[in-house]
Amino acid sequence: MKKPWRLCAVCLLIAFALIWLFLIAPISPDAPRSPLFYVLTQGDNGLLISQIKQGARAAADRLHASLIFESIQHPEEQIARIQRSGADGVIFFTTDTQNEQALLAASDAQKLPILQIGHSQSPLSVWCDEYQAGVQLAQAALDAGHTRFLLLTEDGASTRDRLDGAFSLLESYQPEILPYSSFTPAFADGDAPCVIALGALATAQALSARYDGDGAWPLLGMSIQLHYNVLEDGYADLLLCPAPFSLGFLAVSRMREHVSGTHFKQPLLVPYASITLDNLYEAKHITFAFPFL
Amino acid sequence: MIRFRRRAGSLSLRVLLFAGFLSSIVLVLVFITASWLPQMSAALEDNAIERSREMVLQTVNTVDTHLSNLENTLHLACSLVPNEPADDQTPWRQMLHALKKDNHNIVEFAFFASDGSCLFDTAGGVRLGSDAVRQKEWFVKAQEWEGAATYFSRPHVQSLFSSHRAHVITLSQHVEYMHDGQVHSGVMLMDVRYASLSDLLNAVRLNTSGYVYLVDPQGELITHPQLSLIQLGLFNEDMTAVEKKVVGSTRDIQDGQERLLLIATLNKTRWRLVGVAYANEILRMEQTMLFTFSIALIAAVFLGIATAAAIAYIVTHPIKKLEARINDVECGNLFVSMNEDGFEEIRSVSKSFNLMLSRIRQLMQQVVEEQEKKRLHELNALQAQINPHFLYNTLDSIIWMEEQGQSQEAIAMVGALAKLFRISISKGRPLITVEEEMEHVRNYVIIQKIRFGNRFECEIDVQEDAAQATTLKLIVQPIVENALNHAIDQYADQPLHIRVHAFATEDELLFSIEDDGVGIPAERLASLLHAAPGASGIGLKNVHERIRLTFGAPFGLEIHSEEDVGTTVILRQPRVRRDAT
Repeated sequence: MKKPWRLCAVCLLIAFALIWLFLIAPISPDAPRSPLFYVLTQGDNGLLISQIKQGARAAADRLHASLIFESIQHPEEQIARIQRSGADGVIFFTTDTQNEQALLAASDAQKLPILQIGHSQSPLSVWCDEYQAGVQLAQAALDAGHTRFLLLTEDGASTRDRLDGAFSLLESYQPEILPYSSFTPAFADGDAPCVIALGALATAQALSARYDGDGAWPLLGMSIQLHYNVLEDGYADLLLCPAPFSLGFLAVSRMREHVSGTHFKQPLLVPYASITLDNLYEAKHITFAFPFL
Repeated sequence: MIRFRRRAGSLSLRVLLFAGFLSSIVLVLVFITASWLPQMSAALEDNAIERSREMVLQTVNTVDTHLSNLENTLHLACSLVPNEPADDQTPWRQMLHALKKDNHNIVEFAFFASDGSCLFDTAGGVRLGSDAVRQKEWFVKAQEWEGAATYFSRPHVQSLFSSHRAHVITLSQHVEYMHDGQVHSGVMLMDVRYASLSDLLNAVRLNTSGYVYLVDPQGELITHPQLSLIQLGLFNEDMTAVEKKVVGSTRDIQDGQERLLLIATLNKTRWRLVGVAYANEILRMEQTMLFTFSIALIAAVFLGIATAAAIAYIVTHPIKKLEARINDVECGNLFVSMNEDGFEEIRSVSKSFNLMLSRIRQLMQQVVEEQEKKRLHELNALQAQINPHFLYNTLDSIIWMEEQGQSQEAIAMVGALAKLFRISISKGRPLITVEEEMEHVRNYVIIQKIRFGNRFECEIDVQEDAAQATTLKLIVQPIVENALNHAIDQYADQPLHIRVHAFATEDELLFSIEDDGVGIPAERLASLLHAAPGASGIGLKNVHERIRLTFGAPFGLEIHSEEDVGTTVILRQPRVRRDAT
């Protein structure tokens, strides 16, 4: 107590420092940085892209991540720019092989985590279970009691997987396999095989033939953008729909886990939704059948 | 207690005050904390829960109001149905269109006969046939209830109309109308945008991230902020606890998070509204309050220390100053004073201290003055001690001479005696000139000559420079007297020779009185200047003390004596200028 004023001053200083540091300063603290992901898509429009973005946004909201959406223009420049921005990862969806390769190469060069929505061998990728889609279509055809099958195919690795899946069930039935461009329906109604279209384009061609009045045949197909009236009007018996919302959601979730340190060993496969007239209006299919609502 | 008092007594007042204030502050804070914090903590939690509950009830009211409005609109639409609804000319169809247009939440109206045939719709055509319509739940229920209540469907995609699909909640009501003079029944359908309800509920937040959702009595979700994710299997809402509890509140744990579930039922539809509040958010408010309170408490303790230190300083500082002044006084400095400001008590003490010092100074001055007076009295007394001896001896001699008829000698003696007394009185002055002192000695010698005859000779020699110097009066004569009394050898043939010599140096005035008498034994010489009253040598001692009393210890008498040779007495005093007297 030799220097009471010094003690007094020190205590006042400590008291005000405590109040400032813990009670006043934290009123507007800097928000902790949430991970930032770039979502690059092939174009901005279209229901598929829109649904992927919605799913990505929903995941970002739930998982406290930030997203920047961009349309793919110049992949190498984009990846370099993204790297400079300090983003934690890139999620991309493209149907352009060149873009895909360029993005993968650029991200590899920049050592930036990249997640592809689509057919890929990368364990970080998210895509639809194409093999299972073929199985689903074949199983539905068998469940309907059909015994003759025409498998309508199109180009691409995904279709090959679907074909493998369908073949795994229908091989014993020796189904006819046709590329979609070769489909010219000329069978009588009573003798019509069950047409299994293993792709959206093949399905569109088969439907086009039905609309054109080229006969009636059972059609099980696939659609990226389901038109409910196809089922309501009986042109198709079943359509497999991808789940772009789920793809977007799961892509962001997976990337979020990846940057948090989780290491994935296999790609994430998302099943297709199987839509028929009977389940068209079920709540669980609203996103697939009526994504515009 | 006694030990504590002893220990406390050994501490400084400042430390005691500081410790006392600090203890009081800390005790108050601890008391407040102990008594208030648990209650406040519980109140905060209760308040957060109550707020969530009120939010849920308010939401229930809002939804009920919304559904009531929709029901009223449906009732209005039903009331518009005419007796002949199939008649295209009746205005009710335009009115239904107007109702739809006015309320953007209404998607379509449609009116069906009891056989399921559509009599009118605002969509421009019904896709389904009457058989399919009759199987729809909204139709069946409306017919069953016969207008007793309005049917509210679950959210669904309306596939009834040809023109479009919409995500709606369908309201239906049984209606009776006249046709061909008979009462017929029909069903009025009103589709309401599902988003009008889901947007209302999805915007509700309980605390930070809590939410509300609606379930029907069968446990099917009506609305949920994450309904799309739930439908796609990307999110799971655990409704186990809700299924077990019809209304009220319960708790469950989902994804490791404890949740408070507040359940209330809508009046119109018996749907249940479930509010989900996260316990950690409720606790976070409590934790935030606890943290804030803890920091405030620590800060308050430091403020308390600062306050206690300041108060202790303010109170004890004047006392410390007083202590310092007292120490000064202890060291002999009486000319200090305290500022008479500050607290009343301190002012009072300072005033008393200053008064006390002033009184001490007065007393000191008084003592000095009294001492001075006493010293003067002693001097006077010492001077007065000479007179009785001498006077007695002289008068005795005069008497003897008169008896012997030696009148002339007696007259001379009396004359000398008169002069002697004149000088000794000196108008009361303690100091006289050396010349006057020597004159005094001469008169004394004259008297003693008459008394002793030729038994001694006295020579007086005054240095010219010393003649006008000032000296304490009556200091030489007692020395001469002492020589006459003790130095004369009764058996000697030769008279005693006494030589008085007065001289001065720059700083001192000295008198030397030499005799060639019997001398003083060495053992007596040592105690001569300290002789007790009444003992021989009292005259020497008196002179010695008078000089020392007047001029201080360094001055006085020096006696040098050798037996059978003689004695020399030297009087030493400072040289005092005449004007200094």
